[in-house]
Amino acid sequence: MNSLKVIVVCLFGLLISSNAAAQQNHTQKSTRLTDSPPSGQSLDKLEFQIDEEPKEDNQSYFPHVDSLFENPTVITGLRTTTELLNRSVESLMESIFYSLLDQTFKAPMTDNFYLSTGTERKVFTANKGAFVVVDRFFYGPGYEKRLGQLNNIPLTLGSQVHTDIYDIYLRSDGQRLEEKKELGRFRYFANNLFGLLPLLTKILPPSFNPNELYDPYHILETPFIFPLDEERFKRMLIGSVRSYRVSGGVSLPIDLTLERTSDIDDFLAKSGAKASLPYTVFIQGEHRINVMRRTDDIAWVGLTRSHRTGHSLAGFIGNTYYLLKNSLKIIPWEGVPVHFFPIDLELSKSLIKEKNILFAFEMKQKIAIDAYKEAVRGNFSPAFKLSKNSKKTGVTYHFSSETDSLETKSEVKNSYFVLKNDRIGKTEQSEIKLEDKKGVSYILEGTRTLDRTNWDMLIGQEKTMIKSSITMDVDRKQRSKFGEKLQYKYAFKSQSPYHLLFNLEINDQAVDAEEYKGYLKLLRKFTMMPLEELFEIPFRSEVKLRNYRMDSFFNNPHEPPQLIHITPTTLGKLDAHASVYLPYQQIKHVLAQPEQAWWQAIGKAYELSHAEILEFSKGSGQAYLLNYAHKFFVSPLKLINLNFFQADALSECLHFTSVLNEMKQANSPTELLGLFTSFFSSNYPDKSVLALLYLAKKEETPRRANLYLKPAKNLDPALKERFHKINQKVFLSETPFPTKKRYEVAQDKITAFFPGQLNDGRDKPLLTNISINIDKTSDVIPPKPILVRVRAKKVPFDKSSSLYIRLQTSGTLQIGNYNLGEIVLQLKPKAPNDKWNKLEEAEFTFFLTGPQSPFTGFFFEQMTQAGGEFILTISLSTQESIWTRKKTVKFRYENGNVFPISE
Amino acid sequence: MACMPKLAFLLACICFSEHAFASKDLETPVSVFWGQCKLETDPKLAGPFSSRYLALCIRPESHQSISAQQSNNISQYDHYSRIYAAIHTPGNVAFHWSAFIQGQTDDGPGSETKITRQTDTAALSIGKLGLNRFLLSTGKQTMAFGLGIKPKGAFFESLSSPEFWKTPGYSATVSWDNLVDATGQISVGIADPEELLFLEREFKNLSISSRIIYDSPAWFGTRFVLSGLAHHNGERRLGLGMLNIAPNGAMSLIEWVRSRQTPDGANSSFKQIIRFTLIGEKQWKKKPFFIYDDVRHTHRLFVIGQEFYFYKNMSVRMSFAYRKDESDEREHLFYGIGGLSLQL
Repeated sequence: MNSLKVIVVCLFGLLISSNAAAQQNHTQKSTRLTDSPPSGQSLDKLEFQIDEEPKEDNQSYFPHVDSLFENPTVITGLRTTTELLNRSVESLMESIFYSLLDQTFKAPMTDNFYLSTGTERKVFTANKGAFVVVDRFFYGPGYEKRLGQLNNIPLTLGSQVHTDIYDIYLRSDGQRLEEKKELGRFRYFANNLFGLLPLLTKILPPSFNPNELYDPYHILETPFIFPLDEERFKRMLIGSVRSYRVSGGVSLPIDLTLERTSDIDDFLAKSGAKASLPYTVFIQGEHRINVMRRTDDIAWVGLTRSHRTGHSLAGFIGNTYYLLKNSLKIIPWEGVPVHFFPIDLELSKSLIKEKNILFAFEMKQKIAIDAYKEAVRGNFSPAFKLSKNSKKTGVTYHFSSETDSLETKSEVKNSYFVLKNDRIGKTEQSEIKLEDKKGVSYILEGTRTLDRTNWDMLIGQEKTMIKSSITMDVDRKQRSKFGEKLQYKYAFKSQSPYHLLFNLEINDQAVDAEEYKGYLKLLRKFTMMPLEELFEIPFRSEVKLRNYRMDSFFNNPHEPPQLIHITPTTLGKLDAHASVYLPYQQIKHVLAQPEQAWWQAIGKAYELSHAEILEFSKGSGQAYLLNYAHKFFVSPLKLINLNFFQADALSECLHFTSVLNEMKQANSPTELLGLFTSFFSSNYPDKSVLALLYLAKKEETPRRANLYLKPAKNLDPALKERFHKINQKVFLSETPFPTKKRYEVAQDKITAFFPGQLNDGRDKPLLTNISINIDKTSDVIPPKPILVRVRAKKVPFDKSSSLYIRLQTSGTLQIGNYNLGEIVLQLKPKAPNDKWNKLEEAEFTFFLTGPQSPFTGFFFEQMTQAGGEFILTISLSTQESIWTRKKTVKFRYENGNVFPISE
Repeated sequence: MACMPKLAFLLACICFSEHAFASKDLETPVSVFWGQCKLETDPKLAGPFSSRYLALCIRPESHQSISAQQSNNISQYDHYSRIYAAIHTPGNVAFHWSAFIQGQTDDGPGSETKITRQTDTAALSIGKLGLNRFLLSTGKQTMAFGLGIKPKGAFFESLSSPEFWKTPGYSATVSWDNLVDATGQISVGIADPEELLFLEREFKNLSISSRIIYDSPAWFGTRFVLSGLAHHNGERRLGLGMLNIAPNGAMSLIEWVRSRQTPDGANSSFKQIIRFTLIGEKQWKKKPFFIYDDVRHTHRLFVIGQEFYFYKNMSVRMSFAYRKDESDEREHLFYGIGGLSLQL
C-alpha cells in the first residue's frame, strides 16, 4: 500500500512540477564530501566542505558611470537637421520590443518652442551574466528654429534644458526569478507583462533580453524615488544608484549634404535611401547628483558639474522602412520600423571642464542625515564642514577633482536591421587636479578606448574593448600662454612619474567553441601568459558528428535537407578581462632599445616575415609597394567596419616606430602625453600591446587575466564543471600589480557608481560548509528529523540573514528533478563553538524534516518519509539582492539515516 | 466498415515494427532496416562493414484526419499514407523510392471520393551526407529549392500551399558539401522524361534551380537557405529561409518565396509566399505547433494545435485552423481538425 501511495504521489509530482525542468538553473555542481565513507554506509551526519571562492582581484574593470549618460545636446543637434531618424533605435529587437519603454511626448507651445517629457530604458551588459538597467525620466523645454540658409545650406538653432532623473540598478536573470518569492503574485505577474515576457523569452532568439521589458512600471516610479530623505534612501537596493541631472545646451546644426548629381539622386530614389551630412556646434552644461546606497547605512553622494563645448559631424546613408504597414486595417499602425543604415559615421571633438566631489554619509547619525539632505539638493557646504571630524559626524570627504579634457570621438556604425557592427574610438587627454585628505595632486592622463561591438538578431551582442591609458603624476608650475589644450606647465614628480595600463574586455552573449578558441588566443597574446588552465575544447561534438553520420546514412542526400550540419558547440555567455601594466622603468627600457628592435617587435606582432620587416623598415621593396596597393583597395571597406590588419601593417608599423622615436626626444609631460595619446590611436591596440611586451622585460611587467563563462543550459555537465573551476580563477603574472595610487583610488570610487561592481563578490558572504545531520536527540518518533547546519563567512552576527533553501528529489528515472519545497528563511546566525570562531564563521541551523521544518504539506511529508535521493540547494544573502552562488548537495535518506551518493 | 482494412493494416504495421528484424550495422550481406533506419556503427570507421552488402530501409507512415468546416458544416475525411524504401549498396550508391496515396472525401451533397496515388521519388543517389563532399542524385524527385520541409499530415495537404513544393518532376541534383557548415546545390529538371527526346538546343524545356545552405552555430544550430528557380515556362522564383532545430527538438522555420510571373500571370500560381512554422518541443508526450501561411492575393492560413503521443510512434493531432481568402469566393473559414498519425 505504501509503495502504491508513493507511485501515486510520484505521478502527481510529475504533473504539478512539470515546470521544474524549465527553470533556469544556476545551480553549481555539488561540492565534495569531506569524508568519503563507503557507499551504502549509513551515517548520522554528512558533511560537505565548500571550496572557498578565491579572493576577487582588486582590479576594477567597470566603466566610468558617465558612460551611461549621453550628450543630449549633440543628439538633438544631429537629429534636428535630418528627417531620418531615431537612430537610437537601431535593431530589430529595439524596433519591435524595447522601444515600448522609450517614449517622448512633445507638446508644442509655439512654432519653435515645445515642452517635452518622456521615459527611456537602457540596459548595459555587466559582468557575469548580469545587466545594469538605467531607467530615465525626463522633462524640460526645447527650442528649434530654422534660421535660414547659407549658400543653400540650411541653418538651424536648437536649445534644450532638461531635467533627468535616473535609477540605475543591477539586474540578473536569477534575481528576476527570485523576486517571485518576495513580490506578491500579481505584481510579479504584472512585472512579466502578464505572462508575455516568459513566452517571448522562450520563442525569441537569445538576442532578446527580457530585462529590457521586465517591470516596466518601475520606470514610472523613477521621478518619485530620488532619495531626498532617509526614508527613500532606505528603500534603495544596496548597490543601486539614483541620479538627477539638470542639463542645458545650445546647438547650431547645419546640413552639409551637398548637391548631388542626378545619377546619385536616381540611385538613392530607386533604393529608397536618403543621405545626409549634418554638422553641429554645441555648448552644453550639466549638473548631476549621484546617490549610491553603498551598504545598508552608508550613502555615497557624488556631484558632477561639467561644461562641454564642441562640434560634431555625421554622415548617414540609409533609411527607415516600415514593414507590415497598414496590415492591421482596423488599427492605424505604421508598421514595424526597420532601420537600415549601411553607412553611419560620426566624428566629434569636445572641450570638457568637469568637477567631481564625493562624500560618504553614515545614515545612522542625525547630523550626517541632515548634511546628506543638503548634499542631494546640491549644497555641499555642511558636508565640507562636518567632514573635518568624520568619526564623530559620520560624514567622510573622499575627494574632489577638476578635470580639463579634450575628447575626440569617432564612430563607424553599420546597421542592417537584423545585424549591426559598431566601432567606436574615443581619445581623451586630461589635466586633473585631485584634492583628497592627503592634499592636492596633479595628474595628466591620456586614454583611448576602442570598442568593437557586433550584434545580430539570433545571438545578441559580441563586444571587444581595449582601453589604453597613460597616467602621469606631475607638479603644476606656472600658467602658460593660452593655448588650445593646456594652460599650465607641468613637471614630472617622483622617480616613476608615469605608467601605461592596457585593459581588455570581452563580452559575448553566445560564444561557441570556435569563437572561444579565438578569445583564448587573444587573451594569451594580450598578456603573453600561457594561461594553461584555460583549456581548449573541440569545435564540434564528436558524439553529435557520429550520430549525424549514422542518422543520415540511409537518407536520400537531397531529401530531406533539414539535417543541419553539426555546428560548433555553443558554450554560453562569456566575460573575459585582461590587464597589462607597463611601469615607468619598462617604458624607459622600451625606448632605450634601437629602432631595429622596435621594427622586429611590431613586425612580429603583425605576423610579418623577416624579409617584410626589413623592407618595411627600409621603405622600399616589393612587399612595401604591395602593401600600399593592398591598403588602397581595402581602405574603403573600413566604412563598413571591415578592417584587415595585413593591409594596415605598414602604416601601423611606421606609426609605432615614429611615435616611439619622438618619445625618445620628448621631455615635457605635456609633450609626452600628446605622443602617448597618439601612440594609442592605432586601429589594432592589441598588436601594439603585444609589441610592447616583446620589447619589455616580462618578468617586471605585471599582467592579469580572468575568464567567466555562464554555461548554456544544454552544455555537457562535465564541461560545465570544468568551466566552473576556471571561472573562479584569476591568472596573475609573477610580478604583482603595484599598490594603487591616489588618483586610481579616486577613479575606483567613481566606477563604484556603476552597479555591476557589487556583483564581483567583494561584499558577498561565503558559504563554507553544509552538513546534513540526523537529530537523534529529538523527541520525535522515528524517523528522526533531518537538521541542516550551514556555515558561512562575512556574515554579521547581530542581525538576520536570508537563507534560500530548495529541496528536490532526484533518482534514476532521469525525467526531471521535482521541487518538494522552496523557501527563503530569515535566520539569525549563532557563532559556532569556539573551535570555529577563529575562522569567523557563522552558523545557521534549520530542520529540513519533522514538525519544526518550514516545509509543510502532505506531498512533502510523504516524499521525505518514503526516502530516496535528494538534492538540497542553499544560498545566503546578508543584504538585499546580493546572494552567494547556490551550493548544491546530494544525499540519500532512508529509514531515518543519511547516506552519501557516489558521483 | 470500410476503414477496417486500413485499421488492420495500421495494427499490422505497429506489430511488425516491434518485431521486424534489423541488423545493427552492415556486417551481414543483407540488412533490413525498418522505421528510423539508423545505423549503430559510425560509417566513417573502416572495418565493420561487409565489402558487399545490400541494405534495405523501409519507412511507412500513415495519417488520418477529420476536419470540420465552420462555414458550411461540412466534414472532410482525409487519408494520407506514404511509404519510403531504399536499397543501399557499397560505393555509397542507393536507390530511393517513395509513393503516397491520398484520399479525400466529405459528407457534402454529391461529394465524391478523390484518390490520388503517386510515386513522388524514384531516384538514384551517389554519396552520403556527412561522408562525401560531392553528392549526386537523379531521377524523379523535387528540385533543390527552398527549405524543402513539408509538414506531414493529411490536413496539410488540403489546407496548405502545395505550390511551395511543386517543381518539375524529373531532375538531377549535384551538391557540394564542405562537411562543416555549407552546402551548394544545383538541380536541372524536366517535367516529363519524354521531353528529353525533344530537347532543343536552347534547352527550353529545362528548369534550373540552385540552393545555397549555410548552417550557423547561432541558437544551437540555425540553417539559412538562399535558393532560386528558373522554370522552363518563364516562372522565376527566389526563396530565403531560416530553420532552427533547438536541442530540445523544437523546430522553427520562416520562409519567404517570391515568384516573378510573366505578364499573362499564367506561369505561377503565387506571387509571394511567407511561411512561418513553430513546432514545440515534445514535453510530457505533447507537442504544440503553429503554422502561418501567407500566399499573397490568395489566402492566409493560421493553424494552431497540439500533438499527443500516446503509444510509441502513434500520435493524435488536434488543431484549429483559420483560413482567410483573399478572393471573393470564400471569405473566412474556420476548421477544427482531429487526426491520427502513425510513423514507423
